[in-house]
Amino acid sequence: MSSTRPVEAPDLLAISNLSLGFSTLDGPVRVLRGIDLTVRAQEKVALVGESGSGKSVTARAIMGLLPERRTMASGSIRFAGRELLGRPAEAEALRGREISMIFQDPTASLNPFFSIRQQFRTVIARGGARHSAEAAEQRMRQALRDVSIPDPERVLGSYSFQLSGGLNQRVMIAMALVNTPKLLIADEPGTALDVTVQEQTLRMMRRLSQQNGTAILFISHNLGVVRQFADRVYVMYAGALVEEGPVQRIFTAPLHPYTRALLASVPRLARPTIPTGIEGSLPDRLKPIQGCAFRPRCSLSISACASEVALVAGAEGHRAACVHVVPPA
Amino acid sequence: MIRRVRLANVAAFLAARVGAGLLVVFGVSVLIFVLARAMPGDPARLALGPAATAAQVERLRADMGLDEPLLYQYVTFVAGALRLDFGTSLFTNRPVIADLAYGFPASLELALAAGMVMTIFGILLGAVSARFQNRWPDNVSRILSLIAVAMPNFVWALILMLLFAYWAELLPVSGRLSERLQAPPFVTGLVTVDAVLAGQWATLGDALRHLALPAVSLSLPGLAQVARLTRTNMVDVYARPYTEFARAYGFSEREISVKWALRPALIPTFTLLGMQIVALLGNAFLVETVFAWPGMARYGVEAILRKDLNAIVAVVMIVSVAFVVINIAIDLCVSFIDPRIRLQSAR
Repeated sequence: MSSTRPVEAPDLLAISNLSLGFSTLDGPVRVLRGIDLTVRAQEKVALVGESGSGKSVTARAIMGLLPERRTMASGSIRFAGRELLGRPAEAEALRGREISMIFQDPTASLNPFFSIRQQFRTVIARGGARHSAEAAEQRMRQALRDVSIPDPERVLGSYSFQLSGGLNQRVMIAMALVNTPKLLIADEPGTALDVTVQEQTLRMMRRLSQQNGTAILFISHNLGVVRQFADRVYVMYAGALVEEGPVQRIFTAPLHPYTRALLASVPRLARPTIPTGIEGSLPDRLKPIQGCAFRPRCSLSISACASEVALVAGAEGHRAACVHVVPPA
Repeated sequence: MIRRVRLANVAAFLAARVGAGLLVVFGVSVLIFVLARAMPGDPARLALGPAATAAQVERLRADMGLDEPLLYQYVTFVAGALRLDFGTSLFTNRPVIADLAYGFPASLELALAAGMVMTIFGILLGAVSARFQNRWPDNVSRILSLIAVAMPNFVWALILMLLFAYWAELLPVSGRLSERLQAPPFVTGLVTVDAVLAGQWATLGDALRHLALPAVSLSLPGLAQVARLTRTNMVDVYARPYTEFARAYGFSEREISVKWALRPALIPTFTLLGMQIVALLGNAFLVETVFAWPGMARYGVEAILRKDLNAIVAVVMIVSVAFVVINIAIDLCVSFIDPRIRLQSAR
C-alpha cells in the first residue's frame, strides 16, 4: 500500500465549489452542491458513493461532456492551471490527449460498426504526433501487448461484438493510455464484468498508469476495490462531499456516519455477521436540501444537523462534514 | 487469405438472397396469373368491343389460349416470360414487351433519380437534424419533413411545376427531352445514361433538366420519411455509450456526425429506401401523368382500366423482378455497412 504522495506535488486537477444543475421537465434538479476535489500529479484518487450521488456527473463535468444547453454550473474546474468550466473548447482540446476516460461497460463503449483498428487509429491520431500508417500500427500492437493481449493482430481486425467483455476492457485501457494522458478518469471500470476479470483489469490499469505517470480519478461504489487501489478517497452523498482523507484513515477511522454505514455494508469473509444495509434512500433531488443530506437516514442526527454543516478538518488531511466531528486540539 | 474468405461470404450471401428473390418472383407470377384470370369481365370481349359476335370472341379466346387448362396456360406463360415474351397487348396490338421497352426505362430512370434525391437529401436532412437536436436546424427540417410527408407526390408535382416551370420558367414542363433534340442511341433506355454513353453532353443537360421536377416531386414524401427515420436513429445513436466514448477521446463532432454516428443509423434507412424506390416504380402514375412522362406506371394503370391482360401481367412481373433486384442491392449495401450482418451471414 503506497502512502500519500508528498504534499509538494502540484495539483493537476483542482475542482472548487462546483455546483451543477440540470433543467428537466419536472423543474431544475441540483446534482452537485459545492464540490471541492483535487487530484495531484500521478496520484490515485477514489470518488465513492452510491448510485445517483453525482460521481459520474462529476467525471463528465471535468471532461466537458455534459449537454451545455441544459446544464447550469458554477464554481471552477482547473486542469494544470487552465479553467475548463464553461469553456467547451478548452475541455475539448484536452480530451483524448491530456485526459482520457474508461467507461463502465467496455463492450457498449466500442462502436460495433467499426473494427477495433479503425477506432484505435483515430485515438492515436488524436494524440497529436504524426504517425505513418506503419508506425501507428506498431504503436497499436505494442499498446495491446502491454495489456497482455497476445495476438494484437486478431484483436485489431475484430469488432467489439466478437470479443469478450474482458478483452474489450483491455482494449479500452490500451486506448486510454496510449497517448500517455496526465489524468485518467475511470468511471466504475469493469462493473459490467465478472469479479475476477475486473480485478485483473484494475491491476493492469494501475501498473500502466504508474509506468506512464498518469494520475487516476477512480469512481466506484465498491469500497473493497477502492481500498486496494487509491491513495486518497472522497466520499460523496447526494451531490456533496461528506468525507475525504487518506485511504488508510477512511477505512480504519471513518468520521462521517454515512462512510461508516457504507463500510458496514461491505461483505467480509472474516466476519461472521451479515453486513447491514443503509435504511432509507437518497433524498428527492427536486427539493432543496438544507443542512446534512444524510440526516433522515442517520441514527445520530440531532437538531444541529438541520443547519449548514461544513467540512471539519481532522488529522492528516482527513476531513468530514458532520456536526459530531471534533477538530483535533 | 482474409480477402478470399470475404469473397466467399459475399458469394454465399448473394446466393441466398437470389434464391429468396426467385421464390418471391415465382409467388408473384402465380398470384398475378390467377388474379388476372379471376377478374370479372372477359378480356376477349373487352378487346373486341360490343359489336363483335360471340363466334369472334370465342376465336380470340382460343387464340389467347384462354380455353386451355390453367396449368398449361401457366407453363406457356412462364416459358414466354423467360424469353421476355408476354404476348400481344389487346389494346395496342403490339407485343407488350415492345410497349414496355420504352416505358420501363423511362419509369426506371425517374424512380432511380427520385431514389437518389431521396437518399442524398433525406439522409443529409436527418443527420443535420440529429446533430442539432431541438435547435433551429432541427426544427426547420422537422417542419419541412412534416409538410413533405403530408402531401402526396402529385400535389408536389403541381406545386413545383407552377413554381419552377410556369412562374420562374427555369425548367421544362413535360417530356423527357426538348423537341429540337434527338434521343441518344438506345442502349439502356435511360436517356441520361445513353447520353453519357454517346458523349452527348448537351442532351444530357437537357435530359437532366427534364428529369429534375418529376424526380423531385416523386421523391419528396419518401425523402421526408427517410429524413425522419434517419434523425430518430441517429438521435438514438448519439445517446449510446460509444458516442460518449468518441467524444471523450476527442473525436470531432463533425467526424462523429458524418462517420461514427451516421453509419450505425443508416441500416433502417437503407431498408426503407429499398421499399420506397421500388414503390416509386409502380406508384409514379400521377406524377408521370402531370409531367407527361412516357413511363410504365401510366401504361400499367391504362392496362388495368382496359383489362389488357397480357400488359397487366407483364407490368407486375417486371416490377416484382425490379423489387427483388433493388432489394438485393440494398441488402448488399447494408451488409457492407453493418459488420454484424456481414459476419453472421458467413456462418
